[in-house]
Amino acid sequence: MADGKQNEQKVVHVYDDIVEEDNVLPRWWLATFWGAIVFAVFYWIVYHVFAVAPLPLAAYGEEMARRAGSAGEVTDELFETMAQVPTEVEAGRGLFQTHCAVCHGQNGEGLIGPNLTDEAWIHGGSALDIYRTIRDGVPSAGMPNWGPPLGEANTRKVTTFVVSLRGKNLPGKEPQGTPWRPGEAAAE
Amino acid sequence: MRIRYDDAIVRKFIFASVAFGIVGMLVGAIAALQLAFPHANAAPYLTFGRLRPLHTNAVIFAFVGNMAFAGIYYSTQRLLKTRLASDTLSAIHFWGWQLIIVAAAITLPLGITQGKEYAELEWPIDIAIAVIWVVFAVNFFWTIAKRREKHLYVAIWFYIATILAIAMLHIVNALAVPVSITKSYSVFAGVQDALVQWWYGHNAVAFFLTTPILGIMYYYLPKAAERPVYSYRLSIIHFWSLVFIYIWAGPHHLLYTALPDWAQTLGMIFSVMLWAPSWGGMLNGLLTLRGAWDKLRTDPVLKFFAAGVTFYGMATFEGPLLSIKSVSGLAHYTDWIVAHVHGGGLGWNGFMAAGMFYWLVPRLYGTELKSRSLANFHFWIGTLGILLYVGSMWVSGITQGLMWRAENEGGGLLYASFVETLQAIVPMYWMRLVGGSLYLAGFVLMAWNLIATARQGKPVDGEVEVPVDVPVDRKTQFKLLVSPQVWLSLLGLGLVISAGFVGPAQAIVLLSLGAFVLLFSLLLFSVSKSSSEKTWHAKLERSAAPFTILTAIAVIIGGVAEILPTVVAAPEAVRATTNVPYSPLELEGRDVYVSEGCYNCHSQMIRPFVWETARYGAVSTPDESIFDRPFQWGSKRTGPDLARVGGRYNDVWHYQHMLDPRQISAGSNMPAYPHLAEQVIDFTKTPDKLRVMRSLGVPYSPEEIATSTEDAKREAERIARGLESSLGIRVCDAPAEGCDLMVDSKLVALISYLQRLGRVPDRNAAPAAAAEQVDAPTAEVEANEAAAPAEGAEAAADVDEGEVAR
Repeated sequence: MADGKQNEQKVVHVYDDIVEEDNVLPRWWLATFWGAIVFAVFYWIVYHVFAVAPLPLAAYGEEMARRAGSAGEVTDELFETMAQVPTEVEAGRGLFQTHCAVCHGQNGEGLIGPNLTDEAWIHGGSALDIYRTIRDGVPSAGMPNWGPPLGEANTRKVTTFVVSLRGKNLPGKEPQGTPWRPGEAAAE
Repeated sequence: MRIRYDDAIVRKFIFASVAFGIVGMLVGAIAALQLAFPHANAAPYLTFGRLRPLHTNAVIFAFVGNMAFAGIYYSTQRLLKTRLASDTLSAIHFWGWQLIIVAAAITLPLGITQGKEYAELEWPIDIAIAVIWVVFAVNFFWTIAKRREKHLYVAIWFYIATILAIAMLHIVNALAVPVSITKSYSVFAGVQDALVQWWYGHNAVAFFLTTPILGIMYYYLPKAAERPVYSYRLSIIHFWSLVFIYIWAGPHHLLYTALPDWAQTLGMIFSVMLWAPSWGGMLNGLLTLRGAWDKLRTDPVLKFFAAGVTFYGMATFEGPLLSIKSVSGLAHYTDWIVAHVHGGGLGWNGFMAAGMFYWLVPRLYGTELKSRSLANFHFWIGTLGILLYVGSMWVSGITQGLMWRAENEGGGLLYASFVETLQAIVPMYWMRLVGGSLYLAGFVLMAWNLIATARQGKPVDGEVEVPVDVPVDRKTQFKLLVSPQVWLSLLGLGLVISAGFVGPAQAIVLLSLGAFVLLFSLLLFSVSKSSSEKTWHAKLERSAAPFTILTAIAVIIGGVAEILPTVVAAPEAVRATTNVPYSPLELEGRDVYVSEGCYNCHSQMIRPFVWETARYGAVSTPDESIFDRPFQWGSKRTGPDLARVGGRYNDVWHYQHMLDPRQISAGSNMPAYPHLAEQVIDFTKTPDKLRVMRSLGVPYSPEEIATSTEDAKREAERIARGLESSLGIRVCDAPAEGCDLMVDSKLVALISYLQRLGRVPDRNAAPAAAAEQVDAPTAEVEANEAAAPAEGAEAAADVDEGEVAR
């Protein structure tokens, strides 16, 4: 490991029969020692003296700004159309079964959460209502806001799937809320 | 003159260490099983949240503590050529320490805790620890004063640093105001408390698990290898740099948290600078084995030492790596950290302990080791155990860390459900259990081997011929302290530190000036070395008092520089806060949260990452934990972050989840807490808690304190009745047959606290909206939503139904 030739092999002390030599320090060790100190000073200067690189919170702010406003507009029509496309519905089914089935049942028949296959809707049955309920949640009723964790694209996929469930009337939890019929606008 | 060493005390500490080591590791194995198989949370007293502190306290303070005391007492007597100063103090030290351990083993499962990691023990035990530590210190320094070998060997330097630093860390971090004999509130709150706690936590690793063991390495490794210690000058450099730099590195446990950025950066850069000093110790150990490597094949003692020192090198490379901010971003809150501490704990502490025991016990009983081959077998299953343990936790930590941040193509979370990321690592939890069990089995074999060795011999105390008297030269001591090297070093450090408080231009000037002065003082240190006279440091090694004073200064500087600014700023922060103290019931619920050890698995600190705020809500602010005594930011996410769980689910969800987590969240490994529905809180004690909080500066009015019992009861009644009407469960005011939930139960209080997390109530009808996060990306509840109590699902549904009908 160390450079044998340079070692002085000088005995400096003896304690309780333990012999203490005074060999030179390995160069690579000295390099890491001083290198780390130089790095530390450099890092401090970059981030805290001249502040030329963003600290964590600022970096996060920049990233959020970069991501803001990139997804397109959502409409009832968009979801009604998607709900007719089997591949889109299937994409949403997987997500639904992973995240929603715990409360709403594997096929939306309802468990702790309401039945999603009947015609009764508590927070509105239009596609946009459903989208908003999924995205923003209903904290007072125990429905989490799924928008942030799922992301916009997946929120839309789940919405598409739930829209496709409407009117299937699977046996499950009794209807809750008010009946919704196609063509009714979002309950604002 | 012939003296006899006190080796009886060494034998006592060794067997205490072995016994408690096995107990501590067994508790660790049970806790590991609980993570893989939650039904192993068999009893309310033995849930993971209560066992994990028992495990950490047992292995750190009982196993390593007793081992270090044994190693220190044996080597110190021989290095100083004198018997320990006082047999009485030694006995008080031993029995006091064991009593403290027993007290810990009783109180921690009872949920009596201060809720700060590795400092859980409540205030009466904390006082006992301080007293026994002082007994140890007096015994040790008195022995130094009586020494017949004037020159202090490097092992003694490390022991001195240990005693000073642990006293300082323990006393400051444990500062608290008692509410009762079993409950206290920390004098520090929120950010400050976090900073003090991790200054303590990190340096407990430094000065309890590292410096004493380095001292032990410097004595026992050359003894066992029968080789000279490699380098005296390396020992000087790495000793001073280690004790000075270590103390600054604590904030690396708090990267990306609400801790001020300057403190985070200091934590990171000092951790990076710690790499070489740590490796200095490893090098001096490994290079001392030069010429003895062939002995490793047969000698289990050297095997353990060589592997232990190598694990030390591994852990002290991994530590600085994990302290780099971006690496911490991935690894923090995951099992990678668990892998790291066990690499150090099992590899360094455990193996150094085993090596020392195998070397010492035969000598303490005047015999040979009973079975060398069994000790070799212990080494191999121990090593295999560590590799399985550390390897599985690396895989687990990095897997989960990557899953948390994985994004789907839409910019959302690929694994939006936390349980998915838990399920992925459960196989690793089983593998860890296998590794840990192998390691434990090795220790059981060692215990048998050591006992059999002791039985075949009989206790022998070392004896030595020493000169009658050694004159002490006290005149040079003061001169050493005021020599130019010392004050120039301090001046240089002062200049560098003051650079942190000024503008860019001045900072550069101060940094350069400080660097120049420091280099010049270093030059002075080394110049005197070339003269025929003894070097300054060689003189210092003969002068215990100046050595101790300088060590104390080196250890104190970092703590003062980091902690003082936040302590000074604290009162102003409380004046300016928009936060509101916890309601009486929320405070009681918080104490339940602390007592159950929820912080062992749940963080309350959302870091500024897109993927983190998407999962948990807006970035946590320092203001949010300003009344938190103790802070509960946590350090591990076995479950999700709870900083903004308030309002995310309704009371019904929490009630059912606490009763049976897997019914609500399939695949969860959280313990079930049905017993909390029956255990009641005595709300007549609530005013005492508020009064202590008020004395610490939390703005509770006297009226609030006076009515706190009624307030808590009323609030509990509201929550319990809400659950009753939603779920049709039987809610009782007094214990009765067939009750599902007591009104004044811990569960109700806990729900009240959980619903408060991340939300500032509109209690004063003040502009509460201002308190909400305006820059919250998404996961916010509306301000008025925050004020409205969460109601039962059905009840809420009814209301909504009515509105739609209208």
